[in-house]
Amino acid sequence: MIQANMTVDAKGLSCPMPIVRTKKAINELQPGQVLEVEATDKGSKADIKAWAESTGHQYLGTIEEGNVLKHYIRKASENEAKEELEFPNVVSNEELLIKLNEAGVMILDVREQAEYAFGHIPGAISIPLGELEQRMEELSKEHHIYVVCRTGSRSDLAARKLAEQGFANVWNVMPGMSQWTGPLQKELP
Amino acid sequence: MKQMTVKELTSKVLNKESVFIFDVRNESDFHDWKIEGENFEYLNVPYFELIDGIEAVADRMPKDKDVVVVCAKGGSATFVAEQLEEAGFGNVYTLVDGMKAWSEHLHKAKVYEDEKMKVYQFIRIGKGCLSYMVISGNEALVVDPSRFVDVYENVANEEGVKITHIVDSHLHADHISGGRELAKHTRAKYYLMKSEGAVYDFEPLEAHDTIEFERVQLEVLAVKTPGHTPGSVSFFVNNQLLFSGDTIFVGGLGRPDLGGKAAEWAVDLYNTVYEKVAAIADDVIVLPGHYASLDDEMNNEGYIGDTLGNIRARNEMMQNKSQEEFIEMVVQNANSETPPNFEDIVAINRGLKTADAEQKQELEIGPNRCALHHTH
Repeated sequence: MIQANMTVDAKGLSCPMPIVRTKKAINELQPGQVLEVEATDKGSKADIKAWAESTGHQYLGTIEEGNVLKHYIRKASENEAKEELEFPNVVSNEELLIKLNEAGVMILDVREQAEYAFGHIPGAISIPLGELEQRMEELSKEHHIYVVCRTGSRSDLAARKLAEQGFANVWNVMPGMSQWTGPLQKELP
Repeated sequence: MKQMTVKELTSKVLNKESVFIFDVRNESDFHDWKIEGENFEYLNVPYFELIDGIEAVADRMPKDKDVVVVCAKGGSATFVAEQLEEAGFGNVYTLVDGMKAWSEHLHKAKVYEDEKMKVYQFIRIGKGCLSYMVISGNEALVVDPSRFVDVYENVANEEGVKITHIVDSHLHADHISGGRELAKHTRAKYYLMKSEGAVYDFEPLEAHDTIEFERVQLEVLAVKTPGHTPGSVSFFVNNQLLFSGDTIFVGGLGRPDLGGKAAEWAVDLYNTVYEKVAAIADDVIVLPGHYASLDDEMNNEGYIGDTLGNIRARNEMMQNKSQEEFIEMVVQNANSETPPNFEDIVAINRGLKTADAEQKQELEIGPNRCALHHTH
């Protein structure tokens, strides 16, 4: 089950309606939230992807359930790339790749669950940034925690929150999944 | 809202009229495959960039010629054209049913007529596929039919003839053959090379050196190289017309590289060109299974074809090459681009897979890549 903040039903509709509805719905979402679009028009896949690219929203992927295509898009957040990163402990994607199989290493993926589902580092734990404060007890202070998101910005914020709560061994992975070339795992229904 | 049918647009292509195609599909679809016309101009802006208005493209629309708005199936074009019309553009048409219809339209052209036979070519203008009907007396033979079998049945009715023979020059990779269905409707005999691996009932071409009916004699030209399957056979009719399937095109030779056996299949192609075809006279008319460029390959009589002499003169691969040289050139030119969905289409044509009309349509959408030429 892929989690979305809103679902658009465009089943049975043909072009241009799936995109017209998608565009309308995305305006109602907060930046960073995930939209699910259900459509039966096969052409909607290429068009949603191209539309997302042209508008800057993040196309996560599509799953097929029978005749229904479910597309997932994450609304662009304007400040995500620009925000000043403050957390001092930083490792690169390449450094993390070397540490993947070391004992005591934990990878914490703070992207939305839908982003995680369409591709994450094998063994990474998923706790979206918005849930981190409530779920912090799932993490152990004994671990070396490598926090990853798409571009390094949400993980920066998450790493700071962890440090504030007394986690001593925390690193922010830069730039994160957008440039990840190592192994990937999907968790699709 | 003014509409243009694919038939009307086809006649504009053939008459070399000037038309402004405003294609509102996404950019990759447009670059992959579009409506080609010698005097066509193009603008591609995806419909989803025009949802809030067409202001961004208004000053890029010409006022002095027809604008045809094109999308995948017609809906988005209507959506965009309505806005253009509201903005005061009076010269805007939508292409009815879009690229789907464009992919499916067949244009009939007369190729040949003498006292023994009459031959029509069916040009699938959106995909570059060609099929044929050879009429003699009360009977007709169809070569490489598309899946729009009613087109051939209607022509047979108009001509007052019965379709008695259907031949496929090879197992097609770019489109779904109508051979089996047309044979079912007409009870005609359906011929195909057994080596192509089809799993339903048909007449194996291996067992027929010739097919004869009324005043037509069709000779099957196949080069059977031991150990592997021929890619394509040709049909030589009344020593006058060569239906060359996928071996020889007006502008080049077939591509034996589909399936990753370029070097092996190139041997077949070489043997076809240098043994079978070399013996055929220069004035024989070659009628291929595909074309790559309508403007370059359509002759003055309005069909795709040329004399073998002209084709040989233009194509250095058909001129005194050794087998080694020939194979080297084929392998060098082997193209990794394949027709869209060719594996599924091959499976359907073999009878290993079934698909409903809508699935067939989806599978066939897109450009034809069988006629990418090795040489030009």
